[in-house]
Amino acid sequence: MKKLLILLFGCAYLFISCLPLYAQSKKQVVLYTALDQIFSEPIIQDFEQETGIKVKVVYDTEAAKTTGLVNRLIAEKDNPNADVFWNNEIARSILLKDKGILASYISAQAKDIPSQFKDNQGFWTGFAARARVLIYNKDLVKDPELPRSIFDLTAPKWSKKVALANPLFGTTATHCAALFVALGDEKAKAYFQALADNQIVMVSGNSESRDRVVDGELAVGFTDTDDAWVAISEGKNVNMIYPDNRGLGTLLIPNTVCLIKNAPHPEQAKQLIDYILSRKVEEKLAFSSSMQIPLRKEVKKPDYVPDYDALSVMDIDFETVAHKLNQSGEFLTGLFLR
Amino acid sequence: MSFIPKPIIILCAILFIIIVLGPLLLILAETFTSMDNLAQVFLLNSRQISLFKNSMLVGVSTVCFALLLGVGYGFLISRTDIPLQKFFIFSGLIPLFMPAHITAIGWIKLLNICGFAGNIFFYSWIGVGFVLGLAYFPFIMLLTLTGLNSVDSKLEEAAALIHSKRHVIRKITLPLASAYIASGAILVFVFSLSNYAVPDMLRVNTYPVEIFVQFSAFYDTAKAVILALPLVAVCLLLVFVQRYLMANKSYISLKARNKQKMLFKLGKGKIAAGLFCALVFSLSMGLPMLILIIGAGNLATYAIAFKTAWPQIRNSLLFSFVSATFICLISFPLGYALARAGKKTRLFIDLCSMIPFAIPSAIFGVAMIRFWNRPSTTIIYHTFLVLVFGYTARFSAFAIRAISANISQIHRNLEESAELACQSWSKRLRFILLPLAWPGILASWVLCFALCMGELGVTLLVIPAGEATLPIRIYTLMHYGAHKLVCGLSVILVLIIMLPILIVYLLYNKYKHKLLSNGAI
Repeated sequence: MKKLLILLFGCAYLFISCLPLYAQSKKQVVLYTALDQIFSEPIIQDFEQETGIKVKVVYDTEAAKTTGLVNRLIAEKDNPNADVFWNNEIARSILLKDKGILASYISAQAKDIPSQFKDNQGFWTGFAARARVLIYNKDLVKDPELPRSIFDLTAPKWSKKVALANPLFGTTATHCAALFVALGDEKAKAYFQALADNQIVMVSGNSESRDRVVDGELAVGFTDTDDAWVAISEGKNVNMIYPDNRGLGTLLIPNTVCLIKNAPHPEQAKQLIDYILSRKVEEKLAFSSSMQIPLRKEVKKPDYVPDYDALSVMDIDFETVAHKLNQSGEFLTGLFLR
Repeated sequence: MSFIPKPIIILCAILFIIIVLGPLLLILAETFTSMDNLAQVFLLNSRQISLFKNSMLVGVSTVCFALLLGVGYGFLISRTDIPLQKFFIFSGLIPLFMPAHITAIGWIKLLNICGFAGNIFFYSWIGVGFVLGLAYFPFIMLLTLTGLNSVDSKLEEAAALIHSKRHVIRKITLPLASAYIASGAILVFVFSLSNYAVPDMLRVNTYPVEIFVQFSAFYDTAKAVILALPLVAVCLLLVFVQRYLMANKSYISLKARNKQKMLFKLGKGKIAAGLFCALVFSLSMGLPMLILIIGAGNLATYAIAFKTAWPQIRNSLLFSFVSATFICLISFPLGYALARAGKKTRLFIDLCSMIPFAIPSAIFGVAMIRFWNRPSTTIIYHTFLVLVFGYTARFSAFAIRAISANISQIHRNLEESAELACQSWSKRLRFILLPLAWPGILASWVLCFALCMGELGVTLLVIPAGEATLPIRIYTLMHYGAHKLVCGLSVILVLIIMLPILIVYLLYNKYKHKLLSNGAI
């Protein structure tokens, strides 16, 4: 038995001594990204090849409603492990800034990004955006009756025919908070009350909103351009509308990249941020199946990706939107999620 | 306590407290010191009432479905001459190893195919109860089986002299096994109350869903922790009820049919009974799996799935293997203590091991980060050891109970005789206890391996950078409509979980007679 115990302790000692080798590598950077792995992975691999820096990635998943990493960053505040956070939206990056989790870094690559999409102190920088769109089933909705505005959807003819993802999570939460900011509290509450009265169908996420329209179960759904494009590019009988092009404007939600305060590998982190903010990454994301809209004019893109200038973009201050998230969330919880 | 010396048990207990209770106590302390107005959280508004109502409805409907399936199934395979009995024992246990959210995915896809997408009955507490009932009925089946095996056959035989067998079942057999059945119902109620994935998928707002919302939408960890406290309280209360019901009774018997017990001949009812068991198997396992297999399409999907997800499959296997082994190592001395120690120690182990059942995985994940993410414990937090500890915290209760149940069945006389015959505790452990307790250890290992393979909530929050597991991969793919690959990987996940069960089942059948003659089972 003694021999067995000595052997066990020996193995345990060897195992534990090897763990630091497993845990650390010299030239590396730790990236937390909420952008889908299928889109972010090729870009990260290119960066590794170009720089020789190993990127250790933690991806978020749909199960965590793309907020798992934000919670992890908050919990790790006292002893951060991540160097860079690549968020697929903007509001949670501002929340992280407010919680003192981000450090300032103004990348030279970001100079031609419109000022609406970057923090003037450099805590977050936006690039490659998705638009909030309406996806519709071409069998169920014909051209003349297409909703051109999100406000059309309160009409009785759309009763029980429209899908909206859980308004507490992801880009839907940002969209709702943006409407609170753009319309004012009273008008926004009245609008959402009208949607509730019109029996809008709540679904778990934007991908489900798309799927239920694709299946013909619902006529129209609120979703993002990347989700809608997945179905359109697969030849499904659906199309998308950029709503309110002549009024309030379509909401554009950019990706954001942020440097983490007290990051373990700050130099490599800055290199990675510069790379992510480069034009070629915007170009790759535009040509990928996530069809992200470049925020800079000269970036190459396929024809089906709209020009930033051609869109009527909702003019909104994202900091105000981020600070509105809790208030709008509490109202919408009471309205839709009882 | 002659087989395992007290210092080893104390060492394991300390490890257990550090790994399981340490993170929870820390986050609780942080919550109470950071919250200004605790009363606000408990304020009874209409939302709280609605959450309570939904949670209770989910719990009760799950128990009803699970009782309906589990009691009937357990009775048929243990006390009747049902055909294909061996197959039904095996198939009845399989849903235990299938993650409930996989069953839910299968059923959602099935309804979509049948044109019932978004059906209001399914997308309600009825649907949640149905899916969770299908996932958890094996717990009731197992306890029914154990209860029926414990019934004194003389009582049944005496009653059978003057009454029909149907009357005997109703008035003697089932009432005598009712404590076990009720205990199973309590277990299922606790599990359903703390399940997040299925109510979320079917859009029913229960406490775990609300906790997730507070945590993930409002980033209010303190409120999420406070909201989990009623779940912990209900859970602990039910532990006491269960202890009362199960006083001096064993939880699990690995014998399917006790040959000395009264057997009820089904006659013409054989086919109906067989059909009932086949239907239960189809609903819980067969149909969801079939839908996933159809959804995956041809073999090319599996080839792509293996090729693209091999690192995640390898990680899942490695993490689950190491975790299940560690859980069994730490749970064996504690299971032994639970079976043999004094009342107070037993109550302590019982309560400590039940608390994790009531804690939603997201809270556990944050608690683990707060506890382990510090410079002195980098070696744990930056490696997969953090996952091993996370899985230990979540699942060791299963192993402790299964091992304890097995050890309780070993007669104390054996222990005393061994003590007289042999001075060395290690020899007594190796030559007496381990050979007798290994079925419980093996069963625990298989169960923990399966649970670790399917775990998502904690993994998501603490997985080291650069690593991913198979469930993470599946959920990531679900987002962008890769339905074929999601189905293919789900099938692969279930098959990997099934593999050790199949090996154990085949080994059991091969060496059953030898084991029986040794008295190991």
